[in-house]
Amino acid sequence: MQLAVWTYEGPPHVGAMRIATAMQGVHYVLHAPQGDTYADLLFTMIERREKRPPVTWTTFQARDLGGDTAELFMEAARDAYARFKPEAVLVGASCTAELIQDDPGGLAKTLGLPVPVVPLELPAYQRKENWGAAETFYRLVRAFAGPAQTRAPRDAARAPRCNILGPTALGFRHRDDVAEITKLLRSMGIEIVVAAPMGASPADLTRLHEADFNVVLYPEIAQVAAGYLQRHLGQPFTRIVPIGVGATRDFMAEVAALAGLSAPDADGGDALRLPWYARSVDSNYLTGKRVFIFGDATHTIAAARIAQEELGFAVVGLGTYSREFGREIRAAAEKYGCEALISDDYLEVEECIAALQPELVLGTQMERHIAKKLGVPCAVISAPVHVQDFPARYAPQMGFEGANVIFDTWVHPLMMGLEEHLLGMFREDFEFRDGVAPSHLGHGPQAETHAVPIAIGPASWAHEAEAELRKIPFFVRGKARRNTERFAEERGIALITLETLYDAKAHFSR
Amino acid sequence: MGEEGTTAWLRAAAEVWGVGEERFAQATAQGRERARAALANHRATLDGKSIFFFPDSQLEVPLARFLSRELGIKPIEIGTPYLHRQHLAHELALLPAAAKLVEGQHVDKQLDRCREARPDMTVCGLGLANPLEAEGLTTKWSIELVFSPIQGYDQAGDLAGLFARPLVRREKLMV
Repeated sequence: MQLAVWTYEGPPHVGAMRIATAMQGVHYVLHAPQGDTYADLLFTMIERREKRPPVTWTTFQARDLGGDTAELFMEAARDAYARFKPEAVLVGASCTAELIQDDPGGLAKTLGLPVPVVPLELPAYQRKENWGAAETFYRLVRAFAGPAQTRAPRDAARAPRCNILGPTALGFRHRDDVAEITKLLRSMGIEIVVAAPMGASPADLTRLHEADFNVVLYPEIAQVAAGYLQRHLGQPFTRIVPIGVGATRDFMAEVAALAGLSAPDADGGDALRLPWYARSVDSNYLTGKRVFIFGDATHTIAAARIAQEELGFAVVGLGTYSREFGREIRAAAEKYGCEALISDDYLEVEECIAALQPELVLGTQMERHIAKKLGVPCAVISAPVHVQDFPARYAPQMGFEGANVIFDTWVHPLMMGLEEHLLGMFREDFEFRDGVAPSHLGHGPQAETHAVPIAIGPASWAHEAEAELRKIPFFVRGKARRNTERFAEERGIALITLETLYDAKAHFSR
Repeated sequence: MGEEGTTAWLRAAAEVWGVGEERFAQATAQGRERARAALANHRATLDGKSIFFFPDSQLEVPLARFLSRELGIKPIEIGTPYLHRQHLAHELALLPAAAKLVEGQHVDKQLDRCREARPDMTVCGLGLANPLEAEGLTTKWSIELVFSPIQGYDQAGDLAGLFARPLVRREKLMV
């Protein structure tokens, strides 16, 4: 057992809340003690939702445990139905209430509510938030998808139709991704039947069968439900997540094939700026920048491809907290020639970042904290989210506009290219003094100061080598120091001299 | 909290240690005066306003006492997570009789009462604050009161300021 002060995912009932809150006409009756109601504020505060999540908490207290907590649950379920009149009721227990084993599903059945009741079994001590969201969505889809069907080929006279599956409440840019992908699919001549869970009601779920295929935006949330729909209704589903230019083009080709359309024009047109921006000379300095990537599996894998193929960075490490997708992450790491880190322990992630000394971190809000502490620039690419991840402006991650947004978001935290050169040339000048932050960021990373002892590696530094190292601009000094120490270690050199420093520089020059 | 609360707290200590009345008055006079002056700056905004507390910070009872006695605010309902009548006996004695005092809460029923009462300010947790703002009610985020230094003479004005700010802000915003 381990105590943690921070976690990447909540318990699975929070995942169920993300589904209920995203949908219309669904109410979740949750057997939970008084303290568990904190989860409401994830939605009302972080996402600035104008309504409370559609959740009724039984809020039993210590003194209720001697009495009939089952009756408390029944009363709460009856009251919730009478007050909110939902089209469907989800029932379940939070992690704490799971221990008292009141069987909310069985109890709710005896109430005879006039609407469908979908019981949720979410094992809080084995599973987490994304799993809970996927399971809840699957249960709802199962409850409302209707009878099994075998699919007839589409009548060529009508437009192909699809559902969009996966967007939830509290998702990283889900709101804008849905808008962007809806626009993209329509531009391909494809009609959208239902987008779910976000914005869908149980009645909408009964229309899922009208689609020819499903578009899965977030496999963590929707892959289980999409697999069910494939078996049950014969609807195939997309495997490519359209984040990045290449992935969006591949996604369009995959969608066209599923829809029975000819190969689409996936150029992106004038509105797609990432490819040109990445080729423009001011982006030269991005070449080979060492990035570390951590997040949910979907966003991490997509970010690695963009970093490597579309911005010319070097991926030096990647990882995820989504254990369910460990295999996919390991495959991606192998592709980029680095180690995969599958962990939900942020201290382990911090250690990994500190050891790799990347020049840019792409991560969650937790990696943002870690990077700030270590003085490394960072951009956020994945949930868990923060109030900042719900920007007022349109800021999708998916599709061609998403690629534009990503270019800006990832490049902005870095020192600008010309600025790097100026710092190198004029580092003795007061205006460009060593340790200065990027000029467009008021409180940039804290550069190391001269007071920091430089010899921490196995080899010690000769005075003149150390003095020379100081002359290297601070934003590459860490890399130079690490490379030189590695060079010395590999060759059994105990004292790093000026010669060693320049030998190492020649050895590692690219 | 507040000039009165801080004085009462210091007096309790002074009595135990046998500090005389004259010495006590001398030691507290300056602080009391500063607290009164600071509070006066907020009275125009807060005097006569009604307030409604949802249970959250566990500070609801002393806050209601301070706001009603030192700033002229009228508490409609004071909800607090746990109410220990013995521990809070001195505080409870100072609350206005008209205020409804409730422990724990059935949140939907309390929301019904709050909407009915339409208070000038609602003190609540973050789970409720944005939804109530969206309904047009002015709220004070209660956990900020736990994070901020609000005790003592020199923080009395800051404490009043925390309540004045949401009202002032609502007046300022034109879109």
